[in-house]
Amino acid sequence: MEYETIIREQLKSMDMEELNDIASMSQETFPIIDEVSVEGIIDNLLNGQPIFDSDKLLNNLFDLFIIEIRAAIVVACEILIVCIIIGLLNGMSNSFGDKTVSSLGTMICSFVIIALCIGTFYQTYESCIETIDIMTTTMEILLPIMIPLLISMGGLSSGTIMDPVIIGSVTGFSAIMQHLVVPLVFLSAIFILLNSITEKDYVKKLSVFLRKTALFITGLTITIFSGITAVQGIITKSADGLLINTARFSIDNFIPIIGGFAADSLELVISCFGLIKSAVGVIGIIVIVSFIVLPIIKILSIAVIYKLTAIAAEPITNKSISDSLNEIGTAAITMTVVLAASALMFLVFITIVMGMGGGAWKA
Amino acid sequence: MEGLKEWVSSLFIIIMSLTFIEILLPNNSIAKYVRFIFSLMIMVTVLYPVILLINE
Repeated sequence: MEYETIIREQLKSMDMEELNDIASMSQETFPIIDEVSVEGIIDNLLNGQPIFDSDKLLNNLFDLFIIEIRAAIVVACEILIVCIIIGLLNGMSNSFGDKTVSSLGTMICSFVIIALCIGTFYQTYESCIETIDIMTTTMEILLPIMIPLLISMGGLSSGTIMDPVIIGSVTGFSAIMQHLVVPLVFLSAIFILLNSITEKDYVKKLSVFLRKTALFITGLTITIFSGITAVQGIITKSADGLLINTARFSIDNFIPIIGGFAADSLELVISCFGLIKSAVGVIGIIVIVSFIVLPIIKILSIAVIYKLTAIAAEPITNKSISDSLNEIGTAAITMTVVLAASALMFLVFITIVMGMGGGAWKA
Repeated sequence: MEGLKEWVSSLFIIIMSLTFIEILLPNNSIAKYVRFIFSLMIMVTVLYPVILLINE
């Protein structure tokens, strides 16, 4: 039996419509490879071709970054104009006679800056939530395809134990991210902005505390969930090795004459399943990466724009406003870190499932 | 989550309005005491979640 026929037969019997749908959806937002499908990737692997073109990928990334910077620069210009007005008001405070008039003007200008900043930052918040949501959906589509493949290649205890563990971890992780960590970063940004209208620091420490807490919770959840999954994976792997070895040796030795051939073809079938599982996993990784690239570049370019605005505004405005622009840039970077960390988490899950069952019985 | 939203919006409004009033204060000896009282009010608002926790 040819290995290609085994793979084709197996692929025909699997229902991968949802996976292909979400894969083509991801390639619309950020194209990494021309045509993404499990068959295409397996063909590429068998013919010894690379899965994607890295030069094109880097060029795409750079173009995307430039486009996003251009889109964000409008807000930066608006903020800078308001900052120049503040500088003018500060300089002319003597000619108004009363100090109250100029400080009232400064305060109203600060409100305008706050409104502009909250507008753009709310967009980053929403895209962050949306991306985590879509990554969770991808995992929920991917796992029901990968776990049966894992079970069918002999990973019986891996499959039965990992399925609830990973699905529980994915759901719990995305819930913690969406309802706790990202809102905390957003709140910290609001407090930073609030701090810019007052002369004294009222809520600066609170905002720094909230941001640090968000980062701490992210690190803690990643450690706990990936630890649980990895430990389960290690234990079940040896149990499965035992099972599959027993099956192979008993076919080899207890069935006379044809037993050796049967054992060898068993191994062939298992390797084919392993290839399909790896291809599905690679698709999952590509889908998650292409979903994450667009929002990360968007938020990162907004962060760069905030930092540049803070640098440009420092000579003309008062200290509190340029400080808070700088800090909100840091908050946007924190948002990117949280997003990248959750993508890393999902990639770790996929890699653990991909790595399981492969090769354990040969040892 | 609703309580948190309420806390943030009330903190925002209180700090905003107190800064506004502070600018309009006449520049005499009473202004210092008024500022102190305003700071106390902000402190209480910041600590509001802690107060809720203790009461539970």
